[in-house]
Amino acid sequence: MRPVTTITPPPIARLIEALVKLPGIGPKTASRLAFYFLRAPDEEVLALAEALRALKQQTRLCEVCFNITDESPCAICRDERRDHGLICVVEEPLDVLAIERTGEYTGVYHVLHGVISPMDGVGPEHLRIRELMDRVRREAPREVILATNPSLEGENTAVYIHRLLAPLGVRVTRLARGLPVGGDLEYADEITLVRALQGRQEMG
Amino acid sequence: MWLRSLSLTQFRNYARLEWRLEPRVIMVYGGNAQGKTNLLEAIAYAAMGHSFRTSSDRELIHWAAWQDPMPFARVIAEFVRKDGPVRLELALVAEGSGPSQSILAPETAPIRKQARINGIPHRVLDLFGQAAVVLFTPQDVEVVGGPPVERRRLLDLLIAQTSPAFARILAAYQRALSQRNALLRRLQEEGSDPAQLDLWDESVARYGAPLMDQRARALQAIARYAEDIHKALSGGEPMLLRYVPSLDPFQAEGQMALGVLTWGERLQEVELRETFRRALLRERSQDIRRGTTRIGPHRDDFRFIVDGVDVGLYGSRGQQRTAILAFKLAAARWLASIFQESPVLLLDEVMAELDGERRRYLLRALEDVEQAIVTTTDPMLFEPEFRERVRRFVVRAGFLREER
Repeated sequence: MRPVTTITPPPIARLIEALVKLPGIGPKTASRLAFYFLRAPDEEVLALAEALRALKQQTRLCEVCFNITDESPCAICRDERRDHGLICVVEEPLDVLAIERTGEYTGVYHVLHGVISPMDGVGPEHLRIRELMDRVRREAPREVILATNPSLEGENTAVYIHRLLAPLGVRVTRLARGLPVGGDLEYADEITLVRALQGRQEMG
Repeated sequence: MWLRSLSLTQFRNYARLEWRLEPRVIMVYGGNAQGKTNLLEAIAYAAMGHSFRTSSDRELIHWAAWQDPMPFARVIAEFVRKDGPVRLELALVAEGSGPSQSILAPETAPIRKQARINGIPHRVLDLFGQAAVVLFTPQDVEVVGGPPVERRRLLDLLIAQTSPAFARILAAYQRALSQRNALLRRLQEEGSDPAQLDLWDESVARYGAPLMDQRARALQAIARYAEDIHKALSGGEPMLLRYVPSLDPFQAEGQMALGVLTWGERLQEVELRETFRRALLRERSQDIRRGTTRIGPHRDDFRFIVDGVDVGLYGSRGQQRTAILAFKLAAARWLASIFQESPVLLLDEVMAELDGERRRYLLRALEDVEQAIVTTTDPMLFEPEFRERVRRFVVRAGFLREER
């Protein structure tokens, strides 16, 4: 790659290089953003800078569920209207947002911060699995929902946690797998179809 | 089935090509390096999602396209099947162009690969099972005596063409295997709790068992056709295809090893999975010491046996050539039995290496299928009546024209 600095003044080049590292941002979008900031009002840009600084300084992990929060325990864990007997185990904080958006789930969460993947050097000891065990022993919930992704690593992480939880006598469930809503049978792959068949339900 | 049209944009040495074809034998001829093989490569690429000549997709983009801000190549192949036409499309786009980078480097630019079936975006693996092609090349002969990985690839690609599910299982197996190997190496270095391997043993066995099962069944079916074809090609010698699984379930269970494959019928996939899992457990400490998984379908092999002799080890070049030709023709019949219609045969410069009798046999086989596309530098290798019956095209520096 030809260095950006041959064309662009260093402060702009530095920003472009920083932006390019962001997920979903290519070099084109990065330079468009950089020039947008250059023309934007000072207060808008400074507000963004401040928001970024606060993001790093004022957030931490919730001591109960390990979701990202400004205050620990987090708002969800503090909420007494929520069902604390139901714990949903997810891979990442973003998964909490996805489930919250449904407005259907009233239980609480536990964020693992990853999945078991030896190729990436991630073993069970690198995830918040021990903390989950402690929490289940302490709080004795009715049910733990394993909501890791249906990938090879997500499945195996779920199996691993299930085996650890089994002796504790808690009910463990797994998210259903099957056809996407609005999907077309003809375009579903065989593995998805087989699982959808296996997980079929009584009508009505 | 047959290929109705092939459209290339900036693929190899074709800047642009629109080719209409008919369901019959088609002969493409021209000098070396004019683009004959590129045509067959493009057809197989659309049908299987990857090239038989290179593992680097970058090479497939026309050299001149690299001057553009967004270099790309596109192949569109329209096959006509019994149930109607299907349009397979594969596009390669080099990415990462920005204001500071006017030209992308052909050696390093990341490539995005987009597949479409009838215009609808799909995963590249989904191309498998849409159209069946069998490719014959002068390099095929190396497979007989070459390393086992070549024979596995040959068999796996054939099976994948009949079942996209197989292609997915194969990919899942390779991923599970990589995870297990990564963990083995970690255990080797750190000596931590090997119980963590349970998870990956199960995944490896879960995806490995159907792999072994389907390979055994497919090879058995192909072998049935190959026996007679080889007899006809060689003047009476029968050929046997012997599956040599890395893990023989009967041997593992203390029974006599079968070698020849009837275990598809004798063993349920569930039992196979259990046998595999137990074997992985048994080999665990050895595997940790070596830092790799030593048993499983990634170490499978199959051998070509003629008159009790392993042709891969002891056969002459000529015998190996006959063996692989018989295998490919048998594979074509096997695909035909599954698709209930003939696959498209793609023959790259294979006539030159065969003697008269084998050449005649092959030409008869070409006329048994709906469509065959044959490339050659020398049309005189074919009998005059044959030349008259087929459609002939001349290729020259990336341009194709029909000869009448």
